[in-house]
Amino acid sequence: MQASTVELMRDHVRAIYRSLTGADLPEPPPATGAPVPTFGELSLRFQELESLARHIPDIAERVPPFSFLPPLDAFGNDREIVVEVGVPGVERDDVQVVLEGETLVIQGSRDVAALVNGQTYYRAEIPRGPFRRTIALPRATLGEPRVEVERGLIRVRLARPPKVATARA
Amino acid sequence: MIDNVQPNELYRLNEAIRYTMDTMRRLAPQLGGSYETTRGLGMGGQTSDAMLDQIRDRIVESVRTRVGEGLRERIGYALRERLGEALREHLGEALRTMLTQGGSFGGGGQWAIESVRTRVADAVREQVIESLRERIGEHLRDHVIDAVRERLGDELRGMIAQGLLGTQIVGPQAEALALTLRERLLEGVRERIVERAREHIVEALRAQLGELLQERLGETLRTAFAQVQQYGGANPEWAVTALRERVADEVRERVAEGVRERITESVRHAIGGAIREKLMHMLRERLPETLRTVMMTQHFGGQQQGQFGGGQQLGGFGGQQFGMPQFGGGQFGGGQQFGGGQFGGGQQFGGGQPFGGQQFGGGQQQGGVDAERIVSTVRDRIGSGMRERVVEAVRDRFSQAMRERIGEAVRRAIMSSPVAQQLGPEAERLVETIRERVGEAIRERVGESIPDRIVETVRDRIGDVVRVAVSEAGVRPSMGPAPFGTQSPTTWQPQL
Repeated sequence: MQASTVELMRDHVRAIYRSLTGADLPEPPPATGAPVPTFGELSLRFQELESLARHIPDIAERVPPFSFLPPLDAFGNDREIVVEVGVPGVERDDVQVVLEGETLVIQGSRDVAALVNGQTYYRAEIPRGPFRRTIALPRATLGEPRVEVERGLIRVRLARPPKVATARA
Repeated sequence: MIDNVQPNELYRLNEAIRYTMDTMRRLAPQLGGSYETTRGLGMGGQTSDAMLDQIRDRIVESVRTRVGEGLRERIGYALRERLGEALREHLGEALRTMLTQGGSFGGGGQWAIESVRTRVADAVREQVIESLRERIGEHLRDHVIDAVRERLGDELRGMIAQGLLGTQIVGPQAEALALTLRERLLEGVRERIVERAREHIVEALRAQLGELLQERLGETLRTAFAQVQQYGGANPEWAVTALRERVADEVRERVAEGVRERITESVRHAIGGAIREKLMHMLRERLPETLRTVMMTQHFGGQQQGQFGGGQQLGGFGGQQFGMPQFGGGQFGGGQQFGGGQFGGGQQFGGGQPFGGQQFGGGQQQGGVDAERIVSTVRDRIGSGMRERVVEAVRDRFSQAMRERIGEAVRRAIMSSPVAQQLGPEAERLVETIRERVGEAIRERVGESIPDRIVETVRDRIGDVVRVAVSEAGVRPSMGPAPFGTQSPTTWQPQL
């Protein structure tokens, strides 16, 4: 997960650079063996860059924010709970769904590569990058979540335990 | 988890961030700042200098048209009156000096005419200009700023609609942005524009008056001297009075008419020179800065506002100490409860809008499009200083009219009475003195008697009119997070 996150972050930086200059970000010189910042340090620097970029309309318009919060529906009946998350353009392999007790975590990423593959974006509004939604389920569920990705929707189905018939006195 | 990231990947990311950050600071030193220096105001530098020139010229033309015609009407009457007063004052002294020092209407006539003409023309010109300076300023304050405001607003709306300001905001929010930008741009430059325009117009008027006075005085004095020489040479005092009245009246009419004919064109020319540079500075330098400030502080919707979500979107990086990046999770994950608190906090900003980067624009825009705030801002800005201006305008116009009428009545009363015979030339001075004092007294009393409630009523009325206009423009009252503009294609609804 983290390796792909680093790659996503670098693609995002490349998109910012391209939007700023109209050119591709040059490849860095070979590493000299100097200490490399940790991922935590890089995250902070990345956050600083992203914040600066958001203050420049010309960039903000053409590079969507890194990471996003997709909209979510949750509904159900006696038999199951269904959670749907709207994320255009993702494949099943881009999505991870984890059930931790009664908390459902849906996360993944939408590829940003197209943003920097020699394309010049005039508008870039469809969100890209990592996303994550976490919800506490209203009822207990049974078994593993079933995940489908169809027409821009991630649909997670969670079976509910059958009702136990209570004996009449 | 950290183990699966190659140090080389971290190095490449670090270099990419460093290089991009350096580039951003170099190209936009104030913030990432003056992006327009490399890219124009809008996308891809579409807002070229030529386009700004066109916008500036349209504003200048609008101001010229409105101010030129209006100023002629505004100062026409006052100019005529001030000319008459100044001519009488300076002609009397100049003629008397000339006559008592032995000037003759014969061989020395030409020299005398030249002497009087030059001396009187300069003095009258300066006196008239000084007395009109304030009036010109008032007119410009009323009309130049109105004309700039109106036209600038239209231009800003057009620029926003075409995306030239780097935003695609539409509808009421675009209107609100245009309004805010316009007022911010005018703040601080209002008085400088007025001052500069006034000085240019005063200079134009000075040149025009000087030329006309020299010309008309010369012609009139020559004719009048000839007649006085024929009929009144024996009585110098009578000659002074007769000459003064006749020359003053005739020159006044002819100069006033000449100025009226030429002033529109002069003002058009002067206005262009006066405000062209200021407008260019406003459009090239201040507009990008102001836009950036407004977008940062007023939270207009649109993609730019992604930055307001930055903290939330990236806050999740803190989660990586658990071995997994928690993008956005810092705000929305964890102990939040389904159907409960999780939608009360961060979700307020996200609402039901489809994607994270945009939802913050929707939530934030409540600060930028608060109808009542627009109403109160406009009302207060118009209202502030309005009392003084209403009082001044009523005072000036009323007292001027009364002074003229009372002056005429006093003149007729004194001149037709035996007292005038006894006073001789002093009778005219007495008339002037009475007229001035009565005029001043009226002016003061009128100012005192204008009730505050009239001013308050006008102020309230402005508020009502603005409120209706804002409502018709579709600007909503502040009502919390809501979708806005093109960034919110779905209808906002409360979350579960």
